[in-house]
Amino acid sequence: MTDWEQLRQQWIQGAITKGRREMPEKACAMCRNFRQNSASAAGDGFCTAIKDGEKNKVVFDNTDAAGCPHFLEIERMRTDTSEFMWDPEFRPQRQLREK
Amino acid sequence: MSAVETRTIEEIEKSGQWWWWAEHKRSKRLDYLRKAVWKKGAKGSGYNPGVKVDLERAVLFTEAFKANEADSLRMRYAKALANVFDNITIFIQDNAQIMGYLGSRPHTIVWHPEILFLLNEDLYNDRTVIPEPEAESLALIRELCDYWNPICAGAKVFNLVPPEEIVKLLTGVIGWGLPISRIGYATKQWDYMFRLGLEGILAEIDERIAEAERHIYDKVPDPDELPYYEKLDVWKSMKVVLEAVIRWARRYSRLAKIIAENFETDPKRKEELLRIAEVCEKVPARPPEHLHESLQFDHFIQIACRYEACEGAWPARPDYWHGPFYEKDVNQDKVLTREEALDLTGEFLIRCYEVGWFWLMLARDTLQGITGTWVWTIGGVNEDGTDACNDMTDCLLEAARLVRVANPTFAFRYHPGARMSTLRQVFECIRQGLGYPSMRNDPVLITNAMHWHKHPLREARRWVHQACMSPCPDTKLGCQPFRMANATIIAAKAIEYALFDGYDNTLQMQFGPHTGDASRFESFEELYQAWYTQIKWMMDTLVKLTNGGRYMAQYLDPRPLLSGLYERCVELGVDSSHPSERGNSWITFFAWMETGDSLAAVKKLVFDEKKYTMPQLIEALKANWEGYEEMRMDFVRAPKWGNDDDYVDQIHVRCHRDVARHSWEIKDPTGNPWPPLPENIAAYVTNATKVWALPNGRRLGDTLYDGGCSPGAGMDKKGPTAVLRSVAKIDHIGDVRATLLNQRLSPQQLAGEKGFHVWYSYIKTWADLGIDHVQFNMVDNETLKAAQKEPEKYPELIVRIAGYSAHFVDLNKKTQDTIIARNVQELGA
Repeated sequence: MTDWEQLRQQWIQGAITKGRREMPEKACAMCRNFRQNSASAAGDGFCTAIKDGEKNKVVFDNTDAAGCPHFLEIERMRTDTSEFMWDPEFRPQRQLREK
Repeated sequence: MSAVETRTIEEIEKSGQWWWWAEHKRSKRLDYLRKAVWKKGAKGSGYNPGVKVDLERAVLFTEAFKANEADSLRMRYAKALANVFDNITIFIQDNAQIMGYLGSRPHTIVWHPEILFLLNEDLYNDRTVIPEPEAESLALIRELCDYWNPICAGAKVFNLVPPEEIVKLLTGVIGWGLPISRIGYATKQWDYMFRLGLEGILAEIDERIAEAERHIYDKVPDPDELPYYEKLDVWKSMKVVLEAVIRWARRYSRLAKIIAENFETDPKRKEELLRIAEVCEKVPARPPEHLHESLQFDHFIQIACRYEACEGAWPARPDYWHGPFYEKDVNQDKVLTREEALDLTGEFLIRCYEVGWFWLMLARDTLQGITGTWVWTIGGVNEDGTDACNDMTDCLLEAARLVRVANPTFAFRYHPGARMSTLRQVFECIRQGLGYPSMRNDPVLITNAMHWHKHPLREARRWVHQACMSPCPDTKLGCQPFRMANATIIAAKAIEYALFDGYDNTLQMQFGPHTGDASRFESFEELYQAWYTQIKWMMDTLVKLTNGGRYMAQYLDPRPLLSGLYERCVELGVDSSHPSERGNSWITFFAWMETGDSLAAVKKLVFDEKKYTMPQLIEALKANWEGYEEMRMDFVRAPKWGNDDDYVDQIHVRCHRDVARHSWEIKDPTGNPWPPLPENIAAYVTNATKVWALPNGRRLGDTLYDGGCSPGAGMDKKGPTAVLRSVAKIDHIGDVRATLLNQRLSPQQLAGEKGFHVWYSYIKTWADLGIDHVQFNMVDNETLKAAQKEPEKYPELIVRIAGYSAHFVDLNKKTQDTIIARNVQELGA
């Protein structure tokens, strides 16, 4: 199986079985290194700090990032859900409580 | 009492608050219906408070799908849909005359769980649209997710197409949309439906079935009979669902009759309900003969198709198809007054506006304020080239000003013979701040359709907008059933990849092909060729996915209802995704005009003037220009598109020509080319986070240019004529399938009779220059800023985004700011 096939399987399977969970206290969605797969909507994405070979690691917005040495919390501003929630280069993610 | 009653029209015009005028002028019926409608478009990326997902459609569909396991997938879909039409809750709203609703309650949006596991999980995790009791709803949604996720169309398609391409697409950095037939745009063939009605189509299907059975059963065994087994399944599945649509319409007929005969006390309304009962009994089963029937027929079909799929666009030419009924009822037989026709037409727009479904977050973000790009085509010419504007055109334009919905919007096919009374109505809509109609250059686009897809002249003259921009004939061989949106590239990424050897700085991963270390490029030509390699790779990648998805849809994701509405599919016994139409594909280019501006800036500052070196540029870009502000400003000040400056304009023209050339080298499933179509909807905001810093001086996160051929916001310094001269350097027939020009005009300057003449003079110049599109915002900054400050006072303020309109207060602030930042052009100054 090629790297790309592995990536495809990881996120298809991951997204299919993602389920509904409350956000962990530290979640990938809150990290500057998280990039949501924006063509989808189920919170699947890449960690740009952790690699599997040359490819990024597949993670989800609600992946628990407790203990992750690369975790770098994004800055969020007070707003409502119709607004961009933080620095312009980061898209609003779902499942985050308002600040 | 509202303020409108104490102000004159002149005072309202001065204030720009045309929604007060509309409220005052429209009938009580339209006023009620407009105020009662639930807005289904997203506000930013979230649904409006109170909007809930409808679970009835999902449950009914799933029940029947599960109960028919022995059938083919196509037949299971057909029976599942039939079960929805037979059992979904229906209702009739007070004052309504047009029936058909997508969902079981006025505040609901439907959910199609059979399409995409990502959508399903998004719904399961949503915090606003889950209906009460929430725990019960969530348990049901989970059950449906678990059933559909592994077998939905998305899971099948994504496993089928090349893994590298699909992973790259889904990251969202190189493209947009998904190769799934149930998220496509389908042009409808009204001449077929209006001529036969569904009963007539069913009679044709019965004949085909009988003929197929003779081939199979009445002859000695022969391999020639084998294809008929599949055709029989196609025809029978069409039949199941077309019959169900007729039954669904007649459920409304019965309900109207029951209310009239048992509950309604107002004699006038009782009479209306009985007429509704007659209309729904007749259409869509039989051909329409009156305006009320044709509008009702149309609406039933559009809603029925959206029970089958998330049709993200609404191709329509309502004045062309309903105009003859208006003429007969209002002008000839006088069985309908103009005011009654206006009420029906206004409601026809409102019924469209209220349609909504649970939609991907990306789509909600990118189409803020609306559910889909529902651009209706009006005006233009008839098949024989004569002016097609009619009294229905004027009626639609007047109705639009009265109901002021943000969806549907209109696009007007302008041609030199368009009648003046209609042009005045067009102008009035624009002047009153609707942001529509957009103006389309009919002669140019007819020639364009013949150039790219070899549509015959008479058919090319029948074109409608398949989405917001692309023309597509609504004829037997012209109708394109699926325009899958994933043939949409974020073109500015090609510049980024050319400068970084195919490396994606946003994702920190190699994405594009290796085209060399740009810091070692010694000539502009080396950079240009690297860019050309990257853009061709993006086009090829997304087209390959779309071709695969389109072809396989007939097996993985068939559409029995849509198929049964196309003459060619009924004739051939094929699914609508079978590539048997003439072909009308295009690749949407988001973020396109950054290309020429970026290349021109590098050429000037690095290779011509040698003020900077390539290594310096690469370092500055890597740093997202941080620490290089003085240098960045040099790149911002470099020549920019929209100022009639050949230095930069000719680079843009070269990029267009080379991309158009490659379009002929890549083919769609019908064997036709994939021409480029630059435009942006609201993706110029959402993609701002995906495109790294660029040599035009843009930083990561800065919004992209808003149009398809518009200058960057504030970059056009030399007025509207210079903009038009730049834009006219593109060949709008051979370089593009279409392209989008945004312009802002001053409402004060265009006030009154003089304003019309100034605008009309601009339009004639625009048309003479051969530019295919222009759309206007005519709301001043004071009003927009006041709406930002006190949104509750401006709920009905509409603006044009890029390919669609939306209520200003439904946009996020970043998008609102981009509208304000656009230069206001002074015409005739």
